[in-house]
Amino acid sequence: MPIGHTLDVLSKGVATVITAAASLALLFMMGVVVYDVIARSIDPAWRLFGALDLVEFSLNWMICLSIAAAIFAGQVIAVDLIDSLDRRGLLQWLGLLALLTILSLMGWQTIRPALNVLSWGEITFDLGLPKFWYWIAIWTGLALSIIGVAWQLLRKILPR
Amino acid sequence: MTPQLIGVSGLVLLVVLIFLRVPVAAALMIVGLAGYWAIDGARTALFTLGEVPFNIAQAYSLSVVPLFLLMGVVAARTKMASELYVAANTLFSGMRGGIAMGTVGACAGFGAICGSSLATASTMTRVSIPEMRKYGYSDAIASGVVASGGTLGILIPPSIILIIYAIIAQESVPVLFAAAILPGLLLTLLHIVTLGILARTRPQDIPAGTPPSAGWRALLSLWKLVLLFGVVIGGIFGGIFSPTEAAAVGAALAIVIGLTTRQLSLCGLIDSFAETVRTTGSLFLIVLGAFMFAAFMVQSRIPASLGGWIVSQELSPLAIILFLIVIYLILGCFLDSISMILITVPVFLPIVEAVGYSPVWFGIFLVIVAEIGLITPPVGLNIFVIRGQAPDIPLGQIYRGIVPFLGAQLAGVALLIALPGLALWLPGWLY
Repeated sequence: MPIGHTLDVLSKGVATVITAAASLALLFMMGVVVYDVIARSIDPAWRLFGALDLVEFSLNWMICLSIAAAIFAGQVIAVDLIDSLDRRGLLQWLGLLALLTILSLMGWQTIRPALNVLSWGEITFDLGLPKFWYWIAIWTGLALSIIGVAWQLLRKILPR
Repeated sequence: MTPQLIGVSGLVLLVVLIFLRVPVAAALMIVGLAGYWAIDGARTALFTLGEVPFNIAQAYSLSVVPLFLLMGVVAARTKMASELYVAANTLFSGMRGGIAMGTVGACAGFGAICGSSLATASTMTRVSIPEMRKYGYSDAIASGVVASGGTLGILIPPSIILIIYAIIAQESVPVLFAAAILPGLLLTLLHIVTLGILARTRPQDIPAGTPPSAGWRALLSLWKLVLLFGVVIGGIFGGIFSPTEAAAVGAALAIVIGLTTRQLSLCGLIDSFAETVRTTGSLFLIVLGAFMFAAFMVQSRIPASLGGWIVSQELSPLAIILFLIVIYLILGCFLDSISMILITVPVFLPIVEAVGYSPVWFGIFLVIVAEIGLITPPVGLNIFVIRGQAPDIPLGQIYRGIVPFLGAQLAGVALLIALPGLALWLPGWLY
């Protein structure tokens, strides 16, 4: 079996897992907000303490993973006016290479602020969640996004 | 090199990169980083690049976007659209062009629970184009009315683009939603008037026949839509919910309605979440780039300098707005509306404010003008959605059908410029 086909199957599996994880984060976010709204409408004292922190935290994971999911699904928005002149898809390949480069650079540049947050021990206002956890989601999302773009680049040149 | 000159060079480079098929997000990030670097040095530019994901990831206000997207995706998968279509047709039953008018009404109504032009156009293509063709409407009119009517979905709240604008312009989402209602209804009316004129001038394209009226009882089937819209928008305007809470409650309510009426299966629900995740991802990748680009624009002082220059030239505000219309119509030919708003708002909003326009009014103006881009070639996304689902309709026919409705859209823009109160009266009354 050509390696391109094997990697296709593998990437579909990875994309499904990422999408499922992001969906769970979205479901959690929706659940937290709805519960908070209903609970406090019954009795303000029942409101969910730390709902804001929970929403921000799940939104963080949802956004980071959804970017990776979109990249794996090939849903990166680009203007394709020039495609008719670029039949071999060289510009498309170079465009993805540019995305790979800038995402890698961004990933590298997140290390210092993330470590600063860790060393200062920053926590969220209500629940006292370590803000470093936000950075873990960002790193996970960026790493998966970089793998996704690298895969999009590879699949254009691998035999299948 | 002055910061302003670097800023202008950055804008030119951005356009070039986007045309060279660099993904919009990457082009924004690269230009943003390079420009910031040139103005303020590598250290601060790279620091800003590293901070961008954190600034986005903990922005509570952004949570409204995926939740409203989910509500729209779920609503699109249920039968709400077809029930709405039947009910809207009841209103126009017996009139020449009644089915097309019903389609416009259904597009506007669906926009009230969907918030996305593409989802509205996609859903309405499936529901209404076969029916219009069955009754002898020309392919041009059938596709043109759906393409243009689909844009109503983005103006009538809840609207994803207005939320994005609110975040970029730091405006209130409820105020923008209130501001969008009258212009949305006006555009709906203009579409119906256009169809009325077409029915008289091109009777060969719009036959007199209409399907038998489903009767006024068809309106009862709208309870789901009324409930969703009432809870979400009523909750926001009534001060009961914040936009995020309204979006979460709306999404949950749409799911409950879909599951209890058996119009949404468990598989459909899972697919809805997956679709929402992918759409959110492609949107936020651009938002990531836009934050970096906006930081560069602030450093370049282009918006302030340009605003100062325009004020010193003593150009009339109307001339500036007309100039912006031309710019947006050109950009709309090549960029999707969200990219266009993310790229241009940091540059143009300070200028518009400097000449005395309200940022709320500008948001509504911007959304209407940007949405015209959805139906203008070559990057008319609504056109591609229709073409994807009705591949036997030639692109030329779709373009031909859109032309009269472009007139309606431009008339809407002209009325909004002439009567700014259309956008500002309701928010002024409510808030």
